[in-house]
Amino acid sequence: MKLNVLTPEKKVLVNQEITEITVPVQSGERQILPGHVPMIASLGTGVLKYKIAGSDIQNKFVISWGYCEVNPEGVNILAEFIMSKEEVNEDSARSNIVANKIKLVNEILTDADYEIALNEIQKSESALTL
Amino acid sequence: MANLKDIRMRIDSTKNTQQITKAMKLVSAAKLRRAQNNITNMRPYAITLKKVIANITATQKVSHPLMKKKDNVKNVLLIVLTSDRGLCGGFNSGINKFAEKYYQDNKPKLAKLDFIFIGKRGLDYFARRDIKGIQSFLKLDKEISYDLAKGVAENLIKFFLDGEYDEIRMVYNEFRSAISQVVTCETLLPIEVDKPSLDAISRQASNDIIFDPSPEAIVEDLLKKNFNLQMYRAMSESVASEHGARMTAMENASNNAKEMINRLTLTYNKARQEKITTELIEIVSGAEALKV
Repeated sequence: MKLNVLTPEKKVLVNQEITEITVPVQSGERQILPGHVPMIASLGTGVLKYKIAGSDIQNKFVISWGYCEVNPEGVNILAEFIMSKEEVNEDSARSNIVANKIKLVNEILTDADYEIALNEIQKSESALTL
Repeated sequence: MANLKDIRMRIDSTKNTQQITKAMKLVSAAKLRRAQNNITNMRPYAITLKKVIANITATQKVSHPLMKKKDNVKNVLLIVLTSDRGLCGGFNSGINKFAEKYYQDNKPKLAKLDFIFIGKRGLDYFARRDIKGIQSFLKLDKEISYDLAKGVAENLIKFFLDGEYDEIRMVYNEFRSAISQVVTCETLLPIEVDKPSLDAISRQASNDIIFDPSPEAIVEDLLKKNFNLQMYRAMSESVASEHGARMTAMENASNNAKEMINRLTLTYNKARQEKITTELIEIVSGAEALKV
């Protein structure tokens, strides 16, 4: 099973052979193993986990807003935002959570802004779990 | 004949100009490479996204307000994509001329023709002709990012869905190569989806796709994403074209400066030789005069 992870600004992974992948979809998490039926799912914010063929280590990314297409050849992931463990800055993630929580409590937000703030919190929380 | 000092000063100042144009060319070349990378990095994403949309719309028979064509186009929004700075040959003037011609040709036919200017050159050009845009964005080449394009694109989608405009078009320079940029006018909204040529087997396969959530919700989101991406692509192409055009313009300028320096040096040497000859004649004739 091949994995492609793409964002508009860069190619993160291209034709990587994997044995399993877990994607955060909007209704929860989905694990995809070789031979999965074709699927198109919209992704939520969370942690993407996959195992490279021939290795037992689980690789992880924080991912937010995107698409996952499963076809017989493999999995294509189109994401708008992606962050690897090396890019995570714990301090800024923590302060981001606090700042957005304060925003949620104290400010009157439009629906769209409310969602953005929630998403930011989720993003930073997932980043801390990497 | 200008005197020697004047010519020397002109040579020096031309040399300075040549140094500047050479430096600008190198800077543009570096920036062009980065901009080109941007375009190539985005391509796989764009292609995959388009394929998915075409597949869903063909197999699931979904339609969406963003894809609906209006029969009677009355209100048009034109987005003019230029650069912030000049010294890049015909890059901006091509766009501006095209947009102005479009304005003059179509203004009488339409109920409303509005502009959005991205880049200072277009904004200034039309401001001098008393045409103001409803919005403008500057500093594209420094801060080009997917988020910026997304912001602009979401705005446009809102305009379109509110029914304020029947058609949204954009003029920009399409990047062909470092020396060739083509002025292009594209219809951004309504979105046109190309029909995929699916054979029977893959059609069967796509009928069995699991959707999470429903196909309609996914199409809605995908179309918007695709539109954001189109915007980002156009912006990246325009930035790459700008650097390409500037590189060519600066290359020409450096060559012209070199030619000018050659010409001036020749004149300078001629004048110097002449002066020496005159002096020699004066000395010789002076000596001859003393002999007698």
